[in-house]
Formats: sequence, structure tokens, C-alpha cells
Amino acid sequence: MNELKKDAILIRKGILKTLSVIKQGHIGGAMSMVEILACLYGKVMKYDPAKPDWDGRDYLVISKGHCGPAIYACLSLKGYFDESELTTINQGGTNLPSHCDMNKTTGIDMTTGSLGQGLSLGAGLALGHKLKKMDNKTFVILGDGELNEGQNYEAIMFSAHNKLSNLTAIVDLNKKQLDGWTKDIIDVKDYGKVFESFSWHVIKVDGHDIKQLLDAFEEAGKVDKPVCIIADTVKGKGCPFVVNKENNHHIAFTEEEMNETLELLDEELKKLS
Amino acid sequence: MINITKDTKELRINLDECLTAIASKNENIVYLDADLMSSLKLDNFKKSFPDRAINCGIAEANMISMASAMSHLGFIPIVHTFGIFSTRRALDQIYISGGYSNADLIILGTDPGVSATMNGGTHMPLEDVAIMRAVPQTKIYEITDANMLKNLLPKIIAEKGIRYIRMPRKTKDIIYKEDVDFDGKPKLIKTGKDALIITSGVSVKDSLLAAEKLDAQGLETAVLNVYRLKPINDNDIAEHIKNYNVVLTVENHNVLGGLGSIVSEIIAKNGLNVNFEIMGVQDRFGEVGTEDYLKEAFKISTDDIVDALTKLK
Repeated sequence: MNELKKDAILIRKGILKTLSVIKQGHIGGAMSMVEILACLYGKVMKYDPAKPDWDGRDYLVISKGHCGPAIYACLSLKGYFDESELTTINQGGTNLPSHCDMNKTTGIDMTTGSLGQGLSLGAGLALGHKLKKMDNKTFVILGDGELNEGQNYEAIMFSAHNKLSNLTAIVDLNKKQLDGWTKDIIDVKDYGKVFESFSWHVIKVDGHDIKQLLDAFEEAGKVDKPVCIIADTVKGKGCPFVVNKENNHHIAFTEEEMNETLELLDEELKKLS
Repeated sequence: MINITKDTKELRINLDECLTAIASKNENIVYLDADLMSSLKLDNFKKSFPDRAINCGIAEANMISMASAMSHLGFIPIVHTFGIFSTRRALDQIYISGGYSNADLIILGTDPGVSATMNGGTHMPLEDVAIMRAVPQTKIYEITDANMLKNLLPKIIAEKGIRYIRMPRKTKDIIYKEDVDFDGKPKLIKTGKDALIITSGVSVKDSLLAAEKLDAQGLETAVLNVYRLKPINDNDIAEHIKNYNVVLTVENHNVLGGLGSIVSEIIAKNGLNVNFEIMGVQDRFGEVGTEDYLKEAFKISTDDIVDALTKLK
């Protein structure tokens, strides 16, 4: 558990390092999904950084594709590529574009960025593995703002009808989208009820609580239908300069703000050591 | 001398037989449909491979994205619905989940233009070629008859990337002989020294009939069938155009962005000096009616072709 908490801090540091070269980015949504990634890559998923194309691996779709920096920090931490590559983000010819690209980045399983398509991609992978009689699992990280997109509900219906129990969606419920609070834009009071009404198994957790997340993933593995984990999170978690901003979807930041946060993260890391 | 005959089977039945035969030797082929399986009638395929015939419900966006992801696991998805839904409705999914991710998809769009008949303007693909041309690296085929389909389908399946196949479901018209081989290059299916019609799909038959009438009037008219609309090798078409002073394109599609546009680009890029006209649907929406009524309404009937070339010569 301690290791996963450490991983989460290291991923947050990696996100800051990644964005340090451009001093801006989708940092709010990257920070809110960090514990989810720490759990998936620390305990839950089967994978081998030495064999990124291994067909026995579990698949992850970052449907909120603009949060590339979070998964890049995680992949470099796990050894998919060197940490030094992080600072190439968005530079011409980079392997790390702001939005996830399976053909550019080692370890990225699906290309995303046009919101609303990731759950369908995940359903396709889950259906494909079921047809091949393989036991790979597919995980999809969805944004709560992204759930405005209607295609999600096509995928939700299809997955439930076809009993894709090898598919787990995690909603990063950080309650904000580009233009502000989700409740002020499209107020869906309870996404758990939405997924449940489509016959998904729903588990609600604190999305920054490693134990709750791990328990949820364990429960998800035992259910005979697709599972949605609603992870209640804070947009910008761990970065005071992000959390404290009202509109924190895509923001610019200063060297000082970044360094203050890095100090805080280092202190947390010390406490865990 | 042209020889248009009738098949005993509709084109979709030929598709079923052909696809079932290919799929029996290739377990990666899967067929996805958006609740139009009964319209396409791939009954043998469904019976032979029940697990590989996947009905996605009336949800085209989800179907295209799912199929794209499946292709990354090694499947060869053949995705069908009417052409408007398989292209226009799911365009961003084709573009991003599909093309941008290097997915391998075969997208079947049925009932192009006038062949949508009684389903009318809501179901009538008149812009699908223009849309699919604008997606990078796509391949676009318009099927003329069953013999072309049987020859081309295995080759199309063996290709990579996003492939769009535009075809009617019910036609029984046979234009080509069984042993004709299709390598992507246009086919000169009728010779004639005075004028050239460049055409595709259901307009091939009308163009041939028009060319016969024009021959009788003393205007010896050739017909070139461009069945692969992308990629195009300019020279394959330019070498024919060079032989004529009068060239007409005829298409069952909006005049913007389809075959007429393709040929215009070739004429302009190659500095070809010809009297040229584009015949097709004049930037308008569709409507209901029989095929014959719609061809008249869109001014792409045999008589319209004869009139146009008579004026153009």
C-alpha cells in the first residue's frame, strides 16, 4: 500500500516534470486520476514494460485522452521509457503528444483525444478478447465531463447486453470540465445510478484512497458483468496551485508554483519512507 | 457491342456467398452491423459464424470505434450499414478511432444515391465519396456488379487501412464477364472515338445505354468505369482523356467532391484541353421515388447523358 502511495507521488512529480517545459497543460484532470493509475500499474493490471505489445497483457484506454501527461509519467515510472523523454511533450516530432497516441508512445494501448470514443474502444477490446477466448482485462478511464458525449451510452448499452465482464470503466469524478463545474453545465446528479440503470455493476470509492480503489478492482474481478468504478476525486489533487483555481481544466503555471508543489510532494514522500 | 445481362441473384446474396467463403479460410474476419443485418441478408455468414456476426444495435459511432479497437487485436472487421450512417453519421469515429489510430477497417455503405429509392432523402448517400475522400489514406471502391465484387472483395480484404465499399444491395445487373480481373485501374468497357464518359456504380449501365444511343446518332462514345475512386493514379485516367475532345463524368453522387471532382483535378493538373462537363446530383438533397424517377429528378438518366453529350460535342 505504501509503495502505491509513493508511486502516486512520483507520478504527480512526473506530471509536473513533463509539463515544466511548456508551463501549461491539462494538469487538473491529470492530477485527479493519479491514484487510479498507481493502483492499475502497481497491483491490478498484467503488463510487461519489456514487452509492451505482449498479447497477454491487460489493456488500458485513457478515454480522457487530454490527460496524456499522467499516463506518460506512470509509464516512465514503470520502465516503458526513460524519464528524460517526458520533457519532449508536445515538441515537434515527439513521442509524447498531449493526447494519447498508441502509434507514438510505447505502452499506450489506444489512441484517444476525441472525447466519448474510449469506452467504445474498450468495449471492442473486451469483445475481441472474449471472441478469442482470452482472459485479458480492459480498463477505461473516463472523465465525468466526457460523459456528456452520447457515444458513451451506446457503449454502455452494448457492453451490458453482451455481458462484457472483462471490461471495467473508471469514472474520474473530479466534478469539473473545461467551462466549470459539471453541475452547472450538465447536472447528472448520480452517474452511479446511470450505469446501474443500464445493468452495470457500480462501485463508488474515494478516488484518492488506494485501499478503497484496490478493493473496488478486486470486487470488479468477481462480477459477471461490466463494472463501473465511480472514483470521487479532486481536480488538481496534490497541487495547491491547481486545486485553488476555480477554472483549472487547462492552465498555465509559474516555476515558483511548480517548485512549491514539488517541495510538498517531496515532504510527503519522506513521510512514507 | 455492350452486353448487359441479369444475374439470378441480388448483389447482396453474392456478397454473402463470397464473404462466407473468404471467412471460412480466415477466422479473423468479423462482421458488425447496426441493426441492418436483415437488410444485407448475410444469412450464410451468420449461420456459419454466429459469433463473428455482431449486431451492435442502432449505434453506428460505437460500432465503428469498437471495430477499430478489434482490428488492433488482429481482427478484420467488416462494418455495414446504409452509406449515410456508415460514413456521415460516424465520421469522427472513422477519422480518429479508425484512420488516425491506423486501424484496419472495411466499411460497407449500401444504397448509394438513387438505390435508396423508397427510403428517400434521409437514407440517401449523395456525399459519402466526398466525405471518405477527405479522410487521409482511405481507399474507396464503388462496385458495379457481382463479377466485380467477387473479384475485388478478397483483394480489398487483403489490403490495410480504412476501406470504403459503396454498393447497392439489390441490383442484378451484370456488366462484366466472370473472368475479368480488377487491379484498381479504370476499365474501358466500351470504345468510341468521339466522346468519353467516365462513370461508376449504377451510372455505368446508364452510361453504356446512352453511349449506344449516341453511337447510333453518329457520336461514337467510349465508357470508362472508375471503380476505385481513391487512390487514383492520374495517368490511368489522363491517358484516356487525352484521346478525346469531349469528356463527361456521370455519377450517382453530389457533383461536389466525387468522381467529377476527381476528374476535374486530373484535367486541371495535367493541363488537358477538353470540353468537359460533370453530371451528377446538383448539390441538392434526396427524395423518395423509384430508381428511374430519381435518375430523372437528379438528371442523371440515360436521356440526360445523351442530351449532355450532344450539347457538349
